[in-house]
Amino acid sequence: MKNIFLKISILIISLSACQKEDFTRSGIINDHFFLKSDGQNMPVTVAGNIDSGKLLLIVHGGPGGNALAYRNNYVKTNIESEFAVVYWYQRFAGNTQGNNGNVHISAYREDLKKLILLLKHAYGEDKKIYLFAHSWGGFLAPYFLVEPGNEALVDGWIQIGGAHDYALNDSLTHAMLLKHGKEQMDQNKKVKDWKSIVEWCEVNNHHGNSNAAKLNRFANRAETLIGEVERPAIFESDLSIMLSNYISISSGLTNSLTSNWYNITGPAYNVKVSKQLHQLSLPTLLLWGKYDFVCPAGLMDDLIVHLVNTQPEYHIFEKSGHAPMYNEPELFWDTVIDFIKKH
Amino acid sequence: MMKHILIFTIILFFSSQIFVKAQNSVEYTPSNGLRLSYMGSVTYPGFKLGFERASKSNAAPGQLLSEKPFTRERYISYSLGVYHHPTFHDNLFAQVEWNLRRQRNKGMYYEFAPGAGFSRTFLQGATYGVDSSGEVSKVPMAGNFYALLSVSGSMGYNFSLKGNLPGKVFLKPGLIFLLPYNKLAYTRPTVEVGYTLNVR
Repeated sequence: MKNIFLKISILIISLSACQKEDFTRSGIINDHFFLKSDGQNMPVTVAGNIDSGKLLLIVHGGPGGNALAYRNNYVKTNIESEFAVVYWYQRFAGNTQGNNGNVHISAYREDLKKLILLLKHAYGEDKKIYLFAHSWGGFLAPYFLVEPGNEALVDGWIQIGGAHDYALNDSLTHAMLLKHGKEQMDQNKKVKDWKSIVEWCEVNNHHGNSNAAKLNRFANRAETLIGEVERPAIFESDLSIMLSNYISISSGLTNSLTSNWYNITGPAYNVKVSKQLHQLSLPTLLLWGKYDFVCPAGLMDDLIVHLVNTQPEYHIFEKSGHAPMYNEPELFWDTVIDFIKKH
Repeated sequence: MMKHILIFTIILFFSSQIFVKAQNSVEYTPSNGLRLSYMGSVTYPGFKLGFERASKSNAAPGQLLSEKPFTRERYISYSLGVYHHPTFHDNLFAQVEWNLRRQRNKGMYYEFAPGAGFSRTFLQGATYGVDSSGEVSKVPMAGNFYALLSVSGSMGYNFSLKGNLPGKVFLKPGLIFLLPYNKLAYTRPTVEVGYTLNVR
């Protein structure tokens, strides 16, 4: 039995050794490899126009979110033809696998640094890298950037509905739910749905884990109650994108459970990134949906106040919620393309 | 995958029809078997090779099948398996299962089988590490060892009861669990379609 096991292992290893060059350095590429860091094997897909000399590094939401969920047909057709897009699964997310690993936010920051060093090693030091940070990724990106020496590793920062200050985020969500909820009820819109949200917010504050989790659930629901939010004409479900990219649904569920179980965002409440933002001077683009209840646009205002040494460009999408890249894809991606081409 | 299951079902149905009229009063003794199966992880391919050893039965040696509507049988099976999941991992595993089988006298059987073993995954992609000084290095044979638990419920048809073919076909949906997987357990649904060749 042991011998058979050994022989099959050798066969698999031999087959693996016959694979092509790991990194493609010209043309339209579609590379797939892993970053191993602290017990975690994180999948990375780099797809698109590497000749552009620019890589758009997606720092996905979650924690425990899905990097390849951003890779819908619109992005494949219109963005990957312009730049190379880096779809990186963070630790305890999607197809990331391993026996163990540190769940502290500092490990995520270290992973991001290692990934950038790996990308430069793989595709050349001259390649420009732009962070594309969404939601939880919007905490991780500035948390990474304010660490001494890290800002120099990237060439731009795009923040989309990001949670750079978790405590502020919760208070803004609470206030926004109350404000819009009451307005919608006054206009006799979805009264029954809004009533339960408003009543809860009137008797509860935003402090504590359970309140934060409840607010997050309400925020996601609230967005669906706003008629002004644009829905994608052709809905590509996360499921279809996951299957076409060989994402293991079961691994994603396990990682999502781990992320929740270990309360990864807990320590983020004690990190005040805003106070260090004055150190940054890299080109910055802030993109927010007007009806983002999950990470309200007040967070963007806070960034603008604290980014005193850079002049961040910003844009509010009038028909969007927490994910303007899905709500108003053309306008959203045109804004991103313009920014990257300019910098 | 669905195509395989459909073909199997059709074969199973017609096989049953062919043998249903055969005489039912043959002597029956559970036997050991060599098992080979296609083992798809729903959409991803794999296979499994094993040996099942008959360990216990409530059928008396040489008992006539017509005397009982079914017999309860116990087998221990030892298997090696592998599946391939592009961009994720290849998983090579060794597994022992305890097969709790109910063999009906007309040929069909039903089985529940808990199992345990271990697995080694091989990441589907080159793997790189970066040390504290920023040095990048390739990680050879990247992957992980996991403990493996499994559970399955299956149905099959035993051709040897009618004395025509020395084996059984089976359809076996199940779950395998790899642990510890990112501090919890990884669950993978599997479907096996295979043949067991009786050996003494």
